[in-house]
Amino acid sequence: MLPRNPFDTTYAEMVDSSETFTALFDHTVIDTKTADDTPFISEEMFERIVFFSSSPGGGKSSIFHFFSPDVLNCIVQSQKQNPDSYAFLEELGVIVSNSVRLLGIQISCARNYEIIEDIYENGISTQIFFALLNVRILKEALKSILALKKTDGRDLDRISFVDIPAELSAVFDANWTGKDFYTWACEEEKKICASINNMESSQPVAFIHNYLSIVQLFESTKVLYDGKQVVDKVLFMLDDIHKLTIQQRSVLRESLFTVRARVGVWLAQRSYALDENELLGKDGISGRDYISRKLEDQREGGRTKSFYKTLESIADRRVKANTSIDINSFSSCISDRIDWSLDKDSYKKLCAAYDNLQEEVLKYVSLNEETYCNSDSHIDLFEKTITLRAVKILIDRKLNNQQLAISDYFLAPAEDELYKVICDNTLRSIAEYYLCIENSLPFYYGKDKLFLLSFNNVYQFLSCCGHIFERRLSYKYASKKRHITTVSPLEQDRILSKLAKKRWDELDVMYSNSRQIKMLLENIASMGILTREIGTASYSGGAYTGIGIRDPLLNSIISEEKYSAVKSLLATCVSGNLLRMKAGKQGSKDEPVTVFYLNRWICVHFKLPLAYGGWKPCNMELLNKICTEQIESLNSNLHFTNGGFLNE
Amino acid sequence: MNNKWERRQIITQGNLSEWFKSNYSSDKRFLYILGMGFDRRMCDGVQKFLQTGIPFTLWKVTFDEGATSPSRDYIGDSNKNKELLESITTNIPSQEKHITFWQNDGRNSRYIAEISACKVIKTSSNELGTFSDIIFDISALPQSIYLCMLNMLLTCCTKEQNIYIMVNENYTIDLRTEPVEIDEFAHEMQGFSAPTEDLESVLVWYPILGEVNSPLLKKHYDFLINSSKHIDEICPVVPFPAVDVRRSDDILTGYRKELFSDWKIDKKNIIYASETNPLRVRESLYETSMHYKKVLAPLGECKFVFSAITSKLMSIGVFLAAFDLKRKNVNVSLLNVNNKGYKITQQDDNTISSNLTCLLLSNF
Repeated sequence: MLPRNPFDTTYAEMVDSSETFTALFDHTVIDTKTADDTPFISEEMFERIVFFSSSPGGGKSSIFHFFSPDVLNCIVQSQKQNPDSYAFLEELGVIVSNSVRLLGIQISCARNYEIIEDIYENGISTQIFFALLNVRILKEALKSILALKKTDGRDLDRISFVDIPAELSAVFDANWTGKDFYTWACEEEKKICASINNMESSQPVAFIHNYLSIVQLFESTKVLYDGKQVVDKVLFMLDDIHKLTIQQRSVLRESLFTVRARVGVWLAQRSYALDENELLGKDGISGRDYISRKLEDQREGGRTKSFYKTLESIADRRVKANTSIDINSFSSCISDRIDWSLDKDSYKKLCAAYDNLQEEVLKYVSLNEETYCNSDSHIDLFEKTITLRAVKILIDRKLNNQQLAISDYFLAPAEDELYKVICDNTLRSIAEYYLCIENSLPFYYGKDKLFLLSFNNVYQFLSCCGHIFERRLSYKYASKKRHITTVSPLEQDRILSKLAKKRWDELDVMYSNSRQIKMLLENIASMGILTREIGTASYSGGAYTGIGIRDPLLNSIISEEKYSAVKSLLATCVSGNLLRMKAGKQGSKDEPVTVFYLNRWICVHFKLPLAYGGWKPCNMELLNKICTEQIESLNSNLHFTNGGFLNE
Repeated sequence: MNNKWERRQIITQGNLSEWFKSNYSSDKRFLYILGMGFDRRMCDGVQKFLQTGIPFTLWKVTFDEGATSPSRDYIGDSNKNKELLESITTNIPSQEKHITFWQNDGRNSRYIAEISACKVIKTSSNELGTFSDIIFDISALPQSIYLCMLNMLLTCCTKEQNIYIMVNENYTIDLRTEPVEIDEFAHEMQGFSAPTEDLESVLVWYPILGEVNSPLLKKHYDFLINSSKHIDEICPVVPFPAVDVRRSDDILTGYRKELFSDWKIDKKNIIYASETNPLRVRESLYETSMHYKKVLAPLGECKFVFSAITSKLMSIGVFLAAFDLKRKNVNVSLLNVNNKGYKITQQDDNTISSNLTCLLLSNF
C-alpha cells in the first residue's frame, strides 16, 4: 500500500507489490548511454560480471528489482500500460514473444555475513561465508523459478536439472528435483545459522563451499521446468555487497572470476565500499573480467538532459499515484514564477532593491527613465531589477579593473545596445541570483532548480519533491488554501532551505568524523560566499561551489602515504555524495583538473548558486589548510583571480 | 516438560536485601557482572547488593566505543562512576572483561561489539560454571550488548545455576540518553540470526515501542521489507500499565503516521504490556506468538521478529519471549540498529525516580 504522499515511498515499499513498482519505476533511468556512448544496459551484460556502484539512493536496488521475475511478468501482463518498458526489455532479449526469457535472482548480502569473519578462523570463515551464500542463492533461485512460472512451493518438484556439474556431484544427486534441492538448502541454512548463533568455532562444511559453486548449477541450458528449458539467460544480482567485509568482497570477486559459469552476475555496492584509490582515481576499472557502472557518472555531460527528463517522469508517476488530489504532473504543483501580487513582503523588498540599485547604477550610467522607472507592472519590475543588477555587475567589474571600460559597451544614449549586452542569459541568471540572495527573495524554486538539486541522485530529487508535494497536499485540508493549486516560490524556497538545514544537522549523526567533514565543506562554501560577495560574476553561477585539484597533484594524493588523511577525507565526502568529482580544464593550456563540487543541497544551505562551473583551484598547501582549519585564517592567502594557480 | 521459568521472580527494591539474605546459604558462590559506563545508575545495584553482606566476585565489563565516539564527552562521568565503584568494592575480588566495539578505523570500520560481548561470556564459560548465582547488572550497558551477553549467559549456564538480571529502571533517563551516529541499516542481533523465509511463511513483526523515534523504527521496517519482501502482521507493543499513565497514548500519537497512515495497522493488533514487569511482557508476546503459530499453521511456517525500541525492563521481557520461542525451534529474530555513541540531551531532573528491580531466572 502506498503512503499518502507517494514521494515518501521508499524502495522497500515499492517492492511490496509489482504493480506499484512498475507504476513508479521509470525504465529510462537505465535506457541510456554511458560516457563511451555504449548502452548502459546491454544484452551482453546478462552473461558478464558487472559492478554497479553509487551513493545511497542512486537506484541500484531498483534497477535489480526491475529484472526480478514478478516485475517482468507484470510488465508482460500490462504491456499496454507499460509499452516503453516492454519494448526496452524486448530489445534486450529479456522478453521474447510475450514470454520472459530471463531468470533474475536477487540476493541481499546485508544479512549478517560480516560476523562470520569474527566468529571463525580464516579458512573456515571463508567456507562458512560461501556455504551460507550458496544455500541462500539456491533457495532464492528456486523461488525465482516458481515466481517466473507464477506458481508456488507445491510445484518445486517440476524443477529439474539436465546434469549436475562434476564439482557438485558429490553432494547433489542427479535425480533430485527442485523440492530435494530446496529441502537440502533449508536444512543446511538452519545448521549454519545455528552454528553462527552459538558461535561454534568449527563447522564441517562440504568442499563445494570453498567458492561460489552454486551458480554453476544454474546455467540457463541446464535448468528445466516440466522437462523444458526455463529461460535463455540467468542473472544473479547480489545487492549490498558493501555490507560484506573487505576480505569477503575480495574472495567473492576472485571466486566469480574463476568460476566462469555462463550466467550473469551483477553486484551492487555503495561507493564507500570502493577502495579510496578506485573512488578518487581516474583509471577505468572495466576490464576483460568485468564491467563497471558508476551510476552518477552515467548521468553527466550530454546525458544530463535525458536524466532530467527521466526525473520529471519519475516525479509525474509519483504524483499520479497519489489518491488525495487529482493532478497528473509534478510541474502543475509548483509555480515557476513569483506572483508579486500575492507575495507582498517580497514585493516590498523588490521595490527597495530596485530603488537602491537604480541609485547606484545611475552614478555610472544614464538610463532612460521611461524604460526603467515604470513600476506599475510587477513582472516588469522584477525583470528591470535583474537588469539593473546585471548592469551593477558590469560596473563592479570595471571598478575591480577586471573588464574593459564600461564606456566601451555603453555609448550613450544607445540604450538598445545596453539592453543587448545585458540580455545575456548567463549574466542575467547570475544577476538574479545576486539580487535574490542579497535581498532575501526566493531563489530556490522551480523545476529546473529541483533538477539541479538532485545532484544526479534519484532519491535526493524525490526527497526534495516529496516535501514540496506534501505542502501541496496540505492545501486540500486548509480551508483558506483550498483554492490554491500550486506551491509558491517563496514556500518552495523555505521548504528547500529547511530541508538543507536538516540534512546539514544530520551529518553529525551520520559520520563519526563529522566535525572534519563539516569543516571541509564549510571552508569550500565560505570561499564561495566570498566570491559571491565580491559580486563580479567571474564564475559560472556567480560564485565558487567547489574546488579543483590538478590531476598530477591528485595522483600524488592518491599514491603517497603522507597525504593519506586528505585522501581519506575526500574519499569519505565523495562516497557519501557530499562532493562530486567532475573532469575540468584549467588555464590557457587546458591542463586537466578534477573538480570536487559541493552537493547542491549544501549550496542551498549556504545560499550558493546551483549552476556548475565556478571552482577554486587548490594547491596542496591550500588543500591541507581547508581540511584542517577554519576559513577565517585563510583570508589573507586567498587571491581571487579568474583562473590560474596560487603559491605553487 | 517443566515450565521454563519455574522459580521466576521479580524482586523489587524494597525487598532486595532481605530476599537475598533469606535465600543465601554458605555453599553458594555469587558473581556480580556490571557494565562500566557513564550512566549515573551504574553503581546503584551493587551498592544495594553490598548491604546484604553476601560475599561475591565482581566482573567489571569495560567497553571502548571508539576514539571518535560522542560518548567520550562523558568520560568524566564514567571516571566518577569508576571511582565510586572502586571505593565501595575495595575488598571485593574483581576482574575486568573488555568489549571492543569497532574493528578498523574510518571508512572500513566494522561493528563487532555484539560478537565481542558474546565472546566475553563464551571464553569464560568454565569459570562461570563455578558460580551458583550470577547477577547481571545491565543498568549501564547498551541494549544490544546486554541482550547478547544475556543470551550467551543463558546458553552457557546450567539448570542448577540462578541468573538474576538487575536493572535500575528509569525511562526518562533512557529517553534523554540518545543514540547518535546511528547506522543506516538494522541487522539481526548476534544469537538471533534466522534463516531466510521459506516459500510459504508468515512474518509477524512486533515493534516494542517505548520512545518516539520514527527514523529508527523505519530502519527496522525497511530491513524487514528488503530482506523478506513482506510483513504479514504488525503488532505494536506499548507500555501499559505504566508509571506515566499517558505514556502509551503519547507513543501511539507520536507514531501515528507510520502505524495508522503508512502501514494501516488495525488497532486491535496493539498489545499493551506492563512497563515494569518483564515477565508479563514475555507472557504477552510468547502467548500471542504461539497463538499465531497455531492459527496460521495452514498458511505455512511463522517467523516472529522483535524490535525493542524501548526501555530496559521491557526489552528484557522481549528478550525472554524471543529466547523461549527460539528454544522451541520457532523461527525468531531480534533486530537492532548500531550506533557510535550516545548523547545526553537533557540532564536528569529527578522528577521520576529510578526503580531498582531484580529479575530471577531459575531452573531454565
